[in-house]
Parts: sequence; structure tokens; C-alpha cells
Amino acid sequence: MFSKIAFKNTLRSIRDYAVYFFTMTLGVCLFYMFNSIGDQQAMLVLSESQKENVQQLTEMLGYISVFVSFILGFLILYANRFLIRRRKKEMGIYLTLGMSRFRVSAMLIAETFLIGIFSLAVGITLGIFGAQALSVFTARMFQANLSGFYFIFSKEACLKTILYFGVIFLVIMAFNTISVSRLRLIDLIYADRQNENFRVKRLWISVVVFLVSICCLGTAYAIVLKNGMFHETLLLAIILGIIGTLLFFFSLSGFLLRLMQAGKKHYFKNLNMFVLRQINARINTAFLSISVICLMLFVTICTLAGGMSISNLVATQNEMDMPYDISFVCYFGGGAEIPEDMAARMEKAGVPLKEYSKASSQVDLLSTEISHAEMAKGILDVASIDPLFRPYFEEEGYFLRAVSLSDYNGAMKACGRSQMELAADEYSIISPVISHNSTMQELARQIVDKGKTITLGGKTYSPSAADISENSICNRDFSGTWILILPDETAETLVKDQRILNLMYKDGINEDEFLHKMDEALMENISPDDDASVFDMYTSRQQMIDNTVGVRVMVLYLALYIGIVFLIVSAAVLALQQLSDVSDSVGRYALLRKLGAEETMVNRALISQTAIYFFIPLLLAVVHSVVGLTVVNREFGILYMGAQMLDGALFAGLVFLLVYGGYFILACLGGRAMLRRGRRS
Amino acid sequence: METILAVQDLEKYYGGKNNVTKAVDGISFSVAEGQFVGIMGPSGSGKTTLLNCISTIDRATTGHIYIRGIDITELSTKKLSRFRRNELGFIFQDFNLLDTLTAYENIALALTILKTPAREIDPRVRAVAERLEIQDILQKFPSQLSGGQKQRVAAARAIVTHPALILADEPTGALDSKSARLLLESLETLNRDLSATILMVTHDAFTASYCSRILFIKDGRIFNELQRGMDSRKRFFDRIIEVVALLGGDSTNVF
Repeated sequence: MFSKIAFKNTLRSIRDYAVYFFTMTLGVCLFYMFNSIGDQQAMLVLSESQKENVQQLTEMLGYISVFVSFILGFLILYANRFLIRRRKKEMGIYLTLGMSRFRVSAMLIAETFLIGIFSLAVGITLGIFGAQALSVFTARMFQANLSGFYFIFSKEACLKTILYFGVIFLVIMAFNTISVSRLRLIDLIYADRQNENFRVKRLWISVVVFLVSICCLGTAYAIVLKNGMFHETLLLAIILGIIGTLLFFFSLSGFLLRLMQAGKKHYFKNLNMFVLRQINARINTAFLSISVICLMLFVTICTLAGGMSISNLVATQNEMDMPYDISFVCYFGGGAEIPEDMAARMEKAGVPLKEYSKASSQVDLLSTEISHAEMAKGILDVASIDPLFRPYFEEEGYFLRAVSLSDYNGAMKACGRSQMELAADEYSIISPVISHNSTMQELARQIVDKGKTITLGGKTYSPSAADISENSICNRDFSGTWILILPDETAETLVKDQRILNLMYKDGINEDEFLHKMDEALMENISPDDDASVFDMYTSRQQMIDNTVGVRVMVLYLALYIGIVFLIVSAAVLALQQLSDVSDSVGRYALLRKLGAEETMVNRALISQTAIYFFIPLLLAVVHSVVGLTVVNREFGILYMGAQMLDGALFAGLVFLLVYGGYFILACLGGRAMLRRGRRS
Repeated sequence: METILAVQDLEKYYGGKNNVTKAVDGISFSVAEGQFVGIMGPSGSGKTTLLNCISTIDRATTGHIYIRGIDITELSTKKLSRFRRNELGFIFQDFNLLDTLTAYENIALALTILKTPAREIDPRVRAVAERLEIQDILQKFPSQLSGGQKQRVAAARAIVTHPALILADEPTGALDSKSARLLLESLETLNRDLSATILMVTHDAFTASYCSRILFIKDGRIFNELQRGMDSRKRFFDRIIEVVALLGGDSTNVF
């Protein structure tokens, strides 16, 4: 009998408290999706370094999941409290009928259990599908192939989800049991007759407060826009922003009311008056939560947009010129003994270079005492240079480095690019492009065009008539500095700073295999206390690409995960508050109907009330975000709106629309259902 | 005088095949324009069901209700709400004012539901407020008003749309005797000066004594009818008490 009541109640809860169910299902689905990424990689063909990246990502998401489960736990607890409050009268009836408190608690526990099982089942099922989609997305990000499209059920993620949510449900059961034991019968029976806690607020106060809030927000925006992020006034701006937001929502409804009252035409149109008064009546208690939600939406938007942009910024590192399959670098650190040929040294240490490479080139990077500032002197207007690069020219000490013409041409030959010619008294400049920013190249061309001469060892060199070089001599970022190309005999007089060995693999070579063999050989033949190492570091093109994609995926997934959870929390709280308000106002809506208001008119009033409730916080959050992101963009220049960014932005927008819109629709439908039920009784 | 309301063989049954409750069991009467009609009867006599049927909140099982010649039992739901807001005014026992709106806005609300042009609203609200002597409290919220003031605001809301018929369900039920008297005097004024047609359900003989005509209902049928005629209110009240004693005791006719 009791289990029957519990079962029926569960079904009714799912229908009537769709928001509650939707929230839990969404939470479970999200949790499963992001925790199953590790297992989903079985679908992908990944290299060693990619696997490592996915491993790191999985670990990171695991940590975040703990945080997420706390947030979702609190949200579900909040939603549950709302649900219990709605059902106080029902429980009062059970108790008056002589059901023991124990029985009522047991019934609630059974209900929570059933809802839990149901939402876990639905959530995990959706999560499995979602995870498949996510893997396709992951594969695209890693530019990896799908080894085949088959269904993967991650047992580990499933168990983890069940464990985490099981704990949440246990807490809720405990909470419900406590709340049942603390119920007083008299309160339960009269639960729907609550005190009208309606305070009259003078409207002109609202108008004044509203103007103050606009001033606060305006000042906060101005401070941030003027001083940027790294200024001591930032804290002041944040405090002003929070106060402004609070005051804004505290006074908005009163202000709108006053505004509308001034223009009678709209105020007395349809049920506008009713809607505005309705919102104004509860803003006294609700403004705090709305403000918090607005700020949370702001964080959500910044997280999503920022995550996309940072992820994209990382991606632009892919655009760096990396003409070699792998580059080894050896640092000499001024005046150290110059070892013999690097390739020979590696061969001697047992690294099978010849077996794997089809071409190689050695480049010595030399130090000069010509600074960038000196190069710019008399030619460039330093003050007008892009601030990103300006410091190189403003401050002394950024010295150019140099390579010999034959080293340069050797490197070009290895990667199959065109050679360069120089007369004995000529020089040229190397400046590779990175991130599509060609500022340094343009500056270099200006210097060359103006015929800037340099002096080395008492000899003067003038720029070559040929164009400067944009080719890298190593798989490294040299975007901020210039490298001189000098005739061989001049180069020999300069101090060697680094030695670089660039390799091109033979076709069809597996890099993982080569690196593995190299590690083995070095382990065997080089003892740790040998002072001269064979090389100090290497940068492989494939690994660089994998790493940037790895960081990219990590940033993106973290942003999505946290962003969506925040979004769910904000939207769910809004929806629950709206529903709670509607159920408090069922009598008011019933009266409107008695007075002859048509169904459509009443529904429209309900929808516009819900819409105001949902979209005003969003609107302010968007304004906050526009200002915030403008500043962040100015500081870091990260909002690069490339074509590949559009994908992500669309995706984030879609997610936002789906979650926020979904809750909005649920709030509207739920409210309407409550009004219908109110009319029947 | 034009007939405002005509009820013909009205029946309202509740329940299923085996246990039918006849809440209203064949009632017929008519109300002419400008009449102030009271409906009295003990609890369960069917007076509220009758009022609900007339006010289009409930649907009759059989029979017809004509208001200004329109048969409201034949109207669709959508037409019903239009009819309700155009032709009927309501006064409820528990006032049913919206606590979020000021007195002024509560009265104006009835007009905005009617989609009255905004510029007409203010003069009409002020006119009716003056008539009911509530000009001073228009900017107050219901929580700041006494029961009597609230009910007069409700009366103002009922009358402001110039309805054909005002339906009052126990309007004095929640008032103290002084406020009740003030309200009834207001209703009397509305009835006399504006020739508003009022149908009032009550079980209180004093309240009923303000009417010009009273229908007594018992077990869903009309049991008796009183016309005030030229009687003083005291005399009319005594006559009502007589009928109530006959009707309401319930114990007199049991054996």
C-alpha cells in the first residue's frame, strides 16, 4: 500500500516537478559524459603523447567533478526543499490519518530512491549518447581518426556517477527524514495559508536607488575600461559592480513600475499592471538571489567565451612555422668548449639517426651585441609600435642573434626551401611569423628598406636587396626577436650560443618508435655524471601539435564543464523560484479568471512574468560580460575571432540556449499546470 | 422594466449513476432591471451552486439561464469569459482583492481586463470611488485597509464596468456589524441611484432585509418568496425571520 502511494507520488513528481527531475537528469548526464572521456578514447587512434594528454585531461576532470558534485548536490537539495514545502499539506493529511512519522519518512525515502533510480537511468542513458558525440568532437580536435564508431559504455564513469549521486540522494533522504520529524501538524494543515509578508515600498525610493545603481555600474565599467585588469582599482570596480548589481535588482521593478505609471497607456494595457505589481511584490525577497544568479551567469558567459578564446589562442601556436620534423638544441652558455659535430656525437651515443632521417642540418646560433633598440634607432617610431612588441625596442639588452649564411642555407636545403645569397658586406634578417601577426616582419622590412647599416668587428654591413627571410631555423618560437644572417667569415668571429640539429624523418617513420630507441640508447651509453650532454632539449613537430591540442581540449572541456554546471544551477534556481511564486499566486490568477480575463490573457501574463524573471538577469549579465571580455581582450588579445572559433561559439551558444531555454519552457509549462490545477480545485 | 435575468427549470446534478445529488432541482425565477434580490437558505440548500451557475463559473446540467436575453448555458468557454467580464460584476465573501495592487489598481483592473482605453480609466475609477466614498483610500494596499473598506473597494470593482448584473456571495460574511451596515447602505445606494441590478446570496436575515425581494431555497428548490413592498426594514426583517424559522431550523419539519 505504502509503496503504491510512493510509486504514484513519484510518477506525479516527475510530471509536476519536471524542473527537479530535469535538473537531476541533466546533472547525471553531464557527470557521466565528462567522466567517461578516458574510456571513450578507445574509439580514437591516438599517438603516445596524445594518450598522455587525454590521461591528464581525465585526471583534471576527475578533480573538477568533486567540486561539481558539491554544487549539484546543493542544487538538488535546494530543489528538494522546494518540493517538500509544496507537499507539506499532503504530509499533514497522512499524519492526521494516523500514519506514523516513521511511515511518512519511509515513504519519502522510497520516493527519493525511485526518483533517484529513474533519473540515474535516464541521465546515464543520455550520457552514453552524449559521450559518443563528445568523442567525435574530441577526435576532431585532436585531428585523430576514429578507429571505428561503436558504442562504448564506461563502467568506471557509470559507477562513479552512481556513487556520487547515490551520496547526494542519501543526503536528501536524511534531510527529508529530519524535516518530517520536525513537522508540526498544525503548520502542515495550514501550510498553504502563509502570512502575507508584504511590505509597501515607496516608489520614488526605487527610482533614486535605481539611478544610484546605474551610477555604481557605470563607474565600475569606467574604472575597468580605463585602468584595465592589473590595477589596484580593480577591487573597487568589483565591489562597485556587485553593489550596483544588487541595487539594480532591488530597485528595477519599482523603477519600471514608476516609469510605466507615468505612461498610463501601457500600464493599463492588458494585465501589465498585474505583472509588474506581481514582480514588484516579491523582489524584496528575491532580489538577492537574482543578483547572485546574474553574477553567476556573468561568470558562466566569461568562462565559456574565455575558454573558447584561450583554447583558440593555444591553437594559433599551431600556426608557428615548424619546417622540421624534430629539432635538437644544445646550449653552450657563453665561452664553453665547442663540441664536435652534433649528429656525430648522437651517433656515437648510439642514437640511430641515419636509420630514421633522410636529411639533417646543423645550425650554430651566435650572439651579437647589436640590440633591437639600436636597429630601430633613427628609423622606427618606437612609440607607435604594437605594445606587444614595443618592449623589445624600448629597453636595451635585447640583442639580436645571428647565423652564418651556410648554416642558414643548409637548414633551408634540409626542409626543401629556397636558399639565400649574400655579398661579403651584406646582411639579412630572419623573422618567422607566428599567430598571424606580422608586425615584426613589417618592422624588419622597414629597416631593410631604409638601408640600415650595422657594424661588427669594425666592418660595416648593409642590408641585402633581397627580401628578409620568414623561415624558421629551428622548431621554436623566434617571433619576438630577429636573427641576422651574416657572411660565413664574419660569423666565425662571433661567440657561439646554441647549436641546433634539425632532422627530417624518412617517409613512413613512426616517431614514437624513434624516440623510444633514442631514449634506450642514451640510457645505456650516457652516464648521468657526464658533464657535456648530447643535447639539452628537443622539439618534435608532432608533439608540439599534440600538446597545443591537448591544452586546447583541456581548457575547452573544463570551461564547458564548469560553465554548463553554473548555467544549470542559475537556470534551475530561477525556474524553481518562479514556480514557487506561481504556486503562491494561484489564488490571484484564479481571481483574474473570475473577473473574466481570458485564458490566453492570463497565460500571457504568466509567460511575460517568467520571461522578465529569466531574461533581465541574463541581460545585465551579458552587459557585464561585454565589458569584462572587452577588458580581458585588450589585456591579453585573446578574443581572436578566427573561423575555427565560430564552431565553438556556435556550440556554446547552442548549449546555452538549450539549457537556459529548456528551463524557461519548463518554468512556463509548470506554472501553467499549477494554474490549471488551481482552477480545478 | 426589462428582464435582466431569467432562470428556467435549472437543474444541477452532481455525482454518477448510482448516487445523484441534486444541488439545484428545477429552479425558475426572473429578475427585472433595478431589483435587489436576495437568495437565502440553509447550508447545502444549493444557493451557492445556483449563483455559480448564474455567474458562469459552473455549468448547469439542464435548464436555461438568460441574461439580457442571451442564453449563457449555450455559450462556448471563450465567449463565456467575454460575457462574464462584460455583463457581470462580482463581490465575494473574502473580498478577493489582489494584495499586490493598490485599491485604485484593483478597481482599474476590471477595466483593463475589458480593454478599456487608458484615458477613460481614471475618470471612471474616480467616479465610482466617489460614489462609494473611498476616494481617500485609493492609493492604499488591501493590507492597509479595514474589512469594510476592502469590501467597498470590491463593490467599486464590481460596479465600475457597468455590468448588467452584480452577483454578491455573502458580501457581509467577513465583516463586523458596523462595516456590514455601511456596505449594505452602499449597495442600496448603487441599487437606487444607478439602478444596478443586484443578486445577493446570504444566510443572514439582517443583510437580507436590505433587499427588495427574497427567494428562499431549500434542497435545491424554491421554498418561498418575499416581496418587501412598502414595508419598513424592521417589518421586513421580522417577516424574513418568520420564514427562516420555518425553513432554517431544519428540526421543525423533521418529525
